[in-house]
Amino acid sequence: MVCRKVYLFLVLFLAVSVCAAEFEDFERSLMQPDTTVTSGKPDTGSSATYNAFEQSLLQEESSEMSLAYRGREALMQAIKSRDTAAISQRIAELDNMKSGNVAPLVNIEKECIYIDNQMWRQMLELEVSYYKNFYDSLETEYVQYPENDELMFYVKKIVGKFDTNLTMYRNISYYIEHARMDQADKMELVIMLLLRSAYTRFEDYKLLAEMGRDFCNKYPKHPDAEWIKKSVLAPAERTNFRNLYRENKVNRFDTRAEHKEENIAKNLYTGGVGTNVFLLSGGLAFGDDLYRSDLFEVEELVVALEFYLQLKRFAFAAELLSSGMTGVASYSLGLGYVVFDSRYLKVRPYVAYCFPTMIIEAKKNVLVPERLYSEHGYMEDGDNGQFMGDLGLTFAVNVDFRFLTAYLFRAVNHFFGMSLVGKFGVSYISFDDAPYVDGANVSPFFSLGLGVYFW
Amino acid sequence: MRFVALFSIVVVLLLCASCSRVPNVYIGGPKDPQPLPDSIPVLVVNAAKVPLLPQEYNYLGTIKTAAASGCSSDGTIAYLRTLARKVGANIVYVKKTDIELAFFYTQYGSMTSRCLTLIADFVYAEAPLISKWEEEVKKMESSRKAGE
Repeated sequence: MVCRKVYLFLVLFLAVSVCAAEFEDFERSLMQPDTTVTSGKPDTGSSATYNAFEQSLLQEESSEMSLAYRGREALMQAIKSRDTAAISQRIAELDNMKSGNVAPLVNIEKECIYIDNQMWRQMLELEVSYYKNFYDSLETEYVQYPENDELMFYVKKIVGKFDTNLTMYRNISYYIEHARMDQADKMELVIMLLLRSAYTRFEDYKLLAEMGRDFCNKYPKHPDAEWIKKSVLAPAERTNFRNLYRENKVNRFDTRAEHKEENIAKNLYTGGVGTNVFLLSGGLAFGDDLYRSDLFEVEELVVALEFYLQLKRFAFAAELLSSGMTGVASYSLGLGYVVFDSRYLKVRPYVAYCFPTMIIEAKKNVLVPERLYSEHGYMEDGDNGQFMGDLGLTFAVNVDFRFLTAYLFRAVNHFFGMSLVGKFGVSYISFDDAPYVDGANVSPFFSLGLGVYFW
Repeated sequence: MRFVALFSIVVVLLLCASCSRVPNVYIGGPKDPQPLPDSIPVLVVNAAKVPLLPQEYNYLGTIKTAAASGCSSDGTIAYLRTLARKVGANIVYVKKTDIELAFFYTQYGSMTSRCLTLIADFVYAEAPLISKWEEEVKKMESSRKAGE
């Protein structure tokens, strides 16, 4: 029990807890195995977990355990004599005794011994080995640990000397600075020690990132440089999200020219906003004469326009369109679907509900219904009037030939495009403003123009 | 009336908490993500306890979440798991956590939500310890299902 108390104390001291109670769920599931991390000694849980079968196994292991106690006694003698070579040898012997059932010496005990005896090189080896093999080592659940011996009390005494308000690194940094070691080894040891608190104390995180960068820059050929760079430094540096975001953006901007085609391909079918201006229109009309050509002349629509908003493949369009019949235009609201989109070509069929309109000019004085020309009830020669139709439907397809595609300002995933636009379709239009404008027509039509598209 | 309105807002926020998308900035994601099969669980690993990544891993982006009214810690973690699965990551490596406030203003007053926000890496890695964790998570999930 005493050992467990020491262990808990060490865990509290060396491993810093994370704040959020909100983590309880996933921490419970994932962090429990990690209690082995900082101490090297797993949480053995309550004794109730041991069943009779396990108890019998433990009895069989008593010989292993007595060997472990003897080894620890020998280690204690070496510590008392301050013989670092003997200490290393005894520790190696105890490590060799380690089995799935008995752990004669745990990492925290080794660390305390190394700290007390200023054995920094051995400490470095221990730390590097521990972290390098972290993901490969599997502690068994029911391991026994020697306890209540002299070595355990010795470790407890060393731990008692530490300032519990400081991390282990802060406690021993002075001794590491003045240790007789290569600068590379010193740096690596500091990095290893800082790992324990890097993600809980900001100052340690900053120091770890700085030290990690320096180490990798100064000693790129060091056997551990690649490992530290990838496993330790990279995740730490990615914690500075602002820097990461800036670098990512700069990288993407710098390389956007060479990735242009790739970026365009990635953003096809994503949607955008477009405007088409149709300068040339034509068509055929089949059906009634829509107006009294002996009384009126119609005005041709000079420019037709279309605005559309594309969301993914769907497009919502509002347009003023020449219907294909002389003098008849229509205000339309349409819903389209992009069936094909590529670097140069986009095909967007759509159906539109239209409100046909006709602007006519009287050739002579004409009496007209009041609702159309309420002020006078007649049109004089040269007067203009607008007649609205009842209903119109348009089925058409837009074909865009995109001759220019450029990045929109400094964006990487947004573009500006110019196209030659063709619209081909059929419209049905009816007027019911008898006696002068009346009838229905079906008209195949086309329009050609230019379009701009922001996407 | 005011009570009814406030009650409705609270109900809507609680409902939204379970389904809403967590506001976030996600960068460095793969160009062609390969979703993780359902048979592999997504692990959430706290860097404060496991301060390094395996020697071999595939980096699949970093995410920073933000506070939003109606947030919940479970919802945030569930969202991260879903996103990780989508990009093919089996580990959400949480490196920084914080509690931030989100404000929701109405004509009757304002409401605040305390939200867990975090910065995490998405990675895919294979190692004996990861397999062990995955087994433990699978066991927990199956026992949870059995309990239901």
